[in-house]
Amino acid sequence: MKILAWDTSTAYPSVAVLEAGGLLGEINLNIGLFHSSHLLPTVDYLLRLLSLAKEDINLIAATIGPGSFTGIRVGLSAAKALCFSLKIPFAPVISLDALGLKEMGKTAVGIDAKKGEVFAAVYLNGKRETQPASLSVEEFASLPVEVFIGDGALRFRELIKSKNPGAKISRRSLFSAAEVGLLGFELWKRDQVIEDPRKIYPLYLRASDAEIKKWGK
Amino acid sequence: MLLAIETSCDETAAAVVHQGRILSSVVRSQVDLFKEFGGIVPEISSRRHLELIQVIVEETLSRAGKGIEDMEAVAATKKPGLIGSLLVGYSYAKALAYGLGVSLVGVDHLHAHVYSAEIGRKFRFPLLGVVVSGGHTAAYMVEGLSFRVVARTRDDAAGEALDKVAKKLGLGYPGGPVIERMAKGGDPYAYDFPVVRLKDGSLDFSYSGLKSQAIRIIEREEVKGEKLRDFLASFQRAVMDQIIDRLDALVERYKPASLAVTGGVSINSHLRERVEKFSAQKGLALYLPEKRFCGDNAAMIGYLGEKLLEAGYREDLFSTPFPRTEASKGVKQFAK
Repeated sequence: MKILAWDTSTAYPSVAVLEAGGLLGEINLNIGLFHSSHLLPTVDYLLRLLSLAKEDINLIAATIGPGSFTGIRVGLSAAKALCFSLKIPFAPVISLDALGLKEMGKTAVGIDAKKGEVFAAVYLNGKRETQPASLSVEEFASLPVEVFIGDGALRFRELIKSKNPGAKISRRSLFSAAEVGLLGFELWKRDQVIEDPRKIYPLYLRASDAEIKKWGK
Repeated sequence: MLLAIETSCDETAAAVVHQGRILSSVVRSQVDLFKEFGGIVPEISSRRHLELIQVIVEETLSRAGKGIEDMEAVAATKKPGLIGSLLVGYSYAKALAYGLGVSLVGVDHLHAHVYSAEIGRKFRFPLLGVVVSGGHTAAYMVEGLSFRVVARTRDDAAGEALDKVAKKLGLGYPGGPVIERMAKGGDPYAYDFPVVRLKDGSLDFSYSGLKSQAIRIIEREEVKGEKLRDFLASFQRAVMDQIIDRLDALVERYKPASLAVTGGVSINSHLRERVEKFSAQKGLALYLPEKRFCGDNAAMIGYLGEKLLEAGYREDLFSTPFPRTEASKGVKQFAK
């Protein structure tokens, strides 16, 4: 049971290969939003380093959002095509879960959503407590939690400190493909994977600017 | 046999092509999504492409009676276009080629439009290949797979001018077909729109002057009823006048053996008639695409993709699409 996993929802591209629940390898590149050019070369290189063929992969697990709209689309377009051509299922993972589910204390995960917003959810002891949502920066910084994590937490560190003096801002790595693979494996064990690539959907959490302008949120 | 994908603007399209024959071609337009906005919204378009890409690919394969494992290569539009839209089709195509272990070929959307006129025929070179659409207006001297830009628009594309005037009048989107329908029976000379020539003697197209003039008229007087029909007929005539005026100058300068007029606006029957008359006068062989290949489609991407593959073109795993090409306005490498 081999899993190819990736996260393209942030500027921290990350690709991993797992054997069931065990990590075989992970490549993280701190290069920003270059998913279109770099995702497949990274996948190919990692498979070669592990002496695996793409036909050895049994499951693709990837983040469906929230995060960079374009990043998500690049990742999911590739996921659809690979699942279709290799005839393997897809495990959809929420980007925030990949960062938050392994935290023990009460934790807010925030991915910078630009335009003064943060995609966020709150976690406690390995469980998600709130629905992922697009919060204003102020709402995010005021969440009643012990730890903040994610590029949203780093970006708005000062505001969090002023609104939430007791909270810690985690410096943990934001590269999450290995965790995406583990969560994907859990979905596979529970028979919650997607067999039909037409049914792989993104999680945007926010309408386009043109729609917001026209109809409000 | 090759699967082709096109997502450069607001059409999600796929086709199966084999040795120059189009085995199937499916185009799903997003036009309805944009009627309310009077023009395309890139983010909405990109989202729609992602929803549709797999659906369209499977529909195309099933219409051709082929399986994905029958595909020996994948072709996709690489440039120019809306980058968010291009990225969906291109990322899909690249991963598909990788998964299947076959070659990927990236295709220039405008070059493919020119070649849409060759499907089922054989070009005579040198060819003056013209693309007139909502996003682009450009002319190339073409010899086989070599394309030299000889004119492009300085500002708006021809179809864009039609779109903007239709939007100003509240007639809907896209403007070209609405204007053609509503202009029927109108007097094409009721309004005087002069042919715009650029002061530097260049043969580039320019539509913003014409568009602004039309918008000034709309703002100055009530263009309604009979008057609206005359106004639209005149404006449409003026847009076509400029195309013919440039074709005339381009043919004088570059002496092609034949002419191809392609792209979304080439479905317009006035343009087709005038181009037919023009090429007959000049003694040029004329190629107009079949109507189903005028607008954006993947058949043309696959058709040109096959030729590029035969000539040895391949994309590597790092390749990524571009919003512009040498025929885009403002791109510097354009050589006179």
